[in-house]
Amino acid sequence: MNRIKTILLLIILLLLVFPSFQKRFGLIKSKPLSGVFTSVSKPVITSASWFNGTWQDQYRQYREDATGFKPDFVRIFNQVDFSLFSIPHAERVIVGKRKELFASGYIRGYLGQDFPGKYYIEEKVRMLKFVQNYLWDFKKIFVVVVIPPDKGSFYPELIPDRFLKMKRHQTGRDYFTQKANDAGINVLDFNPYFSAMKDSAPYRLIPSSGVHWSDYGSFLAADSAIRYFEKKTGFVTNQSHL
Amino acid sequence: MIFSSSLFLLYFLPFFLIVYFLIDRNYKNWVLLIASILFYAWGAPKFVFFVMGSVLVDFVLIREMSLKTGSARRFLFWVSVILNLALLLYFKYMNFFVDQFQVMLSLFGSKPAEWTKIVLPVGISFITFQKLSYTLDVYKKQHPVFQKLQDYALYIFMFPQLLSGPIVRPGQIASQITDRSAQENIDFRLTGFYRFIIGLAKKVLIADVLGVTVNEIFALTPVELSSGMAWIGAIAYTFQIYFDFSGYSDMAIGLARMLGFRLPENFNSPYISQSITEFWRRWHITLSFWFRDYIFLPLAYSTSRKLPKEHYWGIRADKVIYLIATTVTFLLCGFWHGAAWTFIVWGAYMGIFLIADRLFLLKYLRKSGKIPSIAITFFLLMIGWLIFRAQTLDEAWFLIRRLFTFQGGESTVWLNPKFWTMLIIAVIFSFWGGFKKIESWVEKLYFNPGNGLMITFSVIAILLFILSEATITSTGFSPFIYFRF
Repeated sequence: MNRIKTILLLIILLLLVFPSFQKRFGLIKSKPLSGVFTSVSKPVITSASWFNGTWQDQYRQYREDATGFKPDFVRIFNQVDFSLFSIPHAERVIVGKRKELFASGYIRGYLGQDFPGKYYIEEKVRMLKFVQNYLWDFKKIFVVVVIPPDKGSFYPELIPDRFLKMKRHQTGRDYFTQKANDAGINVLDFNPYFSAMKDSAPYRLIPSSGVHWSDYGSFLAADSAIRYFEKKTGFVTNQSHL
Repeated sequence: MIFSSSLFLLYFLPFFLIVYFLIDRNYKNWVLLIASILFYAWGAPKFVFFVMGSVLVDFVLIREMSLKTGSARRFLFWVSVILNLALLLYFKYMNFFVDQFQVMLSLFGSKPAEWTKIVLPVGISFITFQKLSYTLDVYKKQHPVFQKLQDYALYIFMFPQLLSGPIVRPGQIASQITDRSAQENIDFRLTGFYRFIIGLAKKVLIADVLGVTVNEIFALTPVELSSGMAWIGAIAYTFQIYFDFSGYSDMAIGLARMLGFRLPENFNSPYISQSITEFWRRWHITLSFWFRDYIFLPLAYSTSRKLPKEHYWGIRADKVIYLIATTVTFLLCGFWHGAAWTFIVWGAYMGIFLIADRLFLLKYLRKSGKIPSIAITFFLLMIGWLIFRAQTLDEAWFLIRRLFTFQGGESTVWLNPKFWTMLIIAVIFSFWGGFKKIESWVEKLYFNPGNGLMITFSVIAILLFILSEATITSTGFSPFIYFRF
């Protein structure tokens, strides 16, 4: 039995030293992390930096940054948190019901928490109206404001309960659409269009792990935008429709 | 360097262990001593020289003291005590005393004096208490002097217990320093590793997860903090501090065990205590015993000699003695934890309940039954930890009041599933000591695991290690709460 125990101890010791050997010799191919990082460079030791402790702190950061299998350790941590606890470790991402991912901005938008104020929106509408008229009257350029679908409005039932418990205020999009329509601005809001197709579309319009529309959704939107343009201007684009 | 860092786990520890295991037995102590001094110098690059100097002075002083009798012996004893306390007072308490002096000056309308804050050297309280243990034990002839300077230096510097205990007495380790061949075997190494990993998981996977939410809750403004959230924060902190500190102790005991040392236990399921008195026999045991043996008992003895009557103010003399000795001991205990009024009040709070236990509370707790007395004790401890954690007494008072004002708030803290899961796990592990079967199973695991259990636990330990290292790599630096002391 002592032999088995010795083997166990050796495995444990090997496990402890393996990451540093991996870093030094690259024994196993490890897929790097994607994203943007600032690498910590190896600090230069001086007597001053040693005695005031800054070198130790920098060296610890350098070693932690350069740990062998770091991408794999980070992936394990992220996957465990996501699979077991629905905790995302991506910037501004929130996990909804049925593991649906939302960008926090869209949930804030759905709840009306980012409403910039009536005056602000009315000013924008007034300026837009001027631009639209000017470009059409003097340059024959057709202006249309396209509002893409936002996931918060598209899947409100999948937003986590802790947000749904919050009071919902008037949203910036609703107020803008209302005022823009009143002012005669060309607005193509895809939210009601997408919501109407939500259950009948053969493919997902907004993917589960994405925060924007899917390729399929974007093709539908492009097709609708072209039809809208043709209808409004009488100009035929020669594009084949879906 | 902290145990729960990649630098320690993946570099310092494995390379140290390989050298330590491979080197000839005659040189093991040297390897351990050099590694320990490097380990300490890493976090206290200047103060390490003070400690090394004081170790040398202490060694010479105490050896001389052991050869003397009478007043010369007493003189050398006091020189050693004063030197050690002076270091502690200067490095740990001088900022506090100067702050109080500045407050006094401002009361009299004077300008505050200029003062550069002293940086607290890591582990100073533990190192000083361990050194005082040696001075006191040799003085009282309870322990012979270390024959070699390197043995005494190793007793002080041994890195597993250097920074946050357990506080080891010379009698508990001296013989192991000179000869531990019987304990340098594969069983000690493997069970030591398990213990270390359990401690690491307690710290990284439980305490740190609770700590994130606790910090968010206690950072809420008074408008945002609801009573419900204050309760959750207080309960979570009660478990956070236990898993943080007992996790460190497990790591220290496990590391020492891997090296062939048997260190004293520091925790014994403290939250199943049925009174505050019992709590102090289960929480930070080595510190409690230190205060009991070196402060409380000598103080009680010397007080008893000064109180010859049977009653004082209608109270029996033994109770008066207990009251005086407990008050002083727990005020000092609170002050030992930190140079702030919150710690002094926390110590006084604990002392009050110990005295109440002695006078009447214990009787009522026993009558109320096991579970109610555990619940009452837990509640009292939770309030105590709020005082302990607060930065100021005002903050502590605010938090305690908020528990009972039952008011709502606009909290934005997300109590995520991971927090709740770890809180439930923390509750289960904290109270399972109350079940004898589980306790005996844990003892078997730590001290005498069978072959099958050893293989199973090796697999679990490896998985826990990978999870802990993944967490450390992803979340970064997180020091232990008790490193501040």
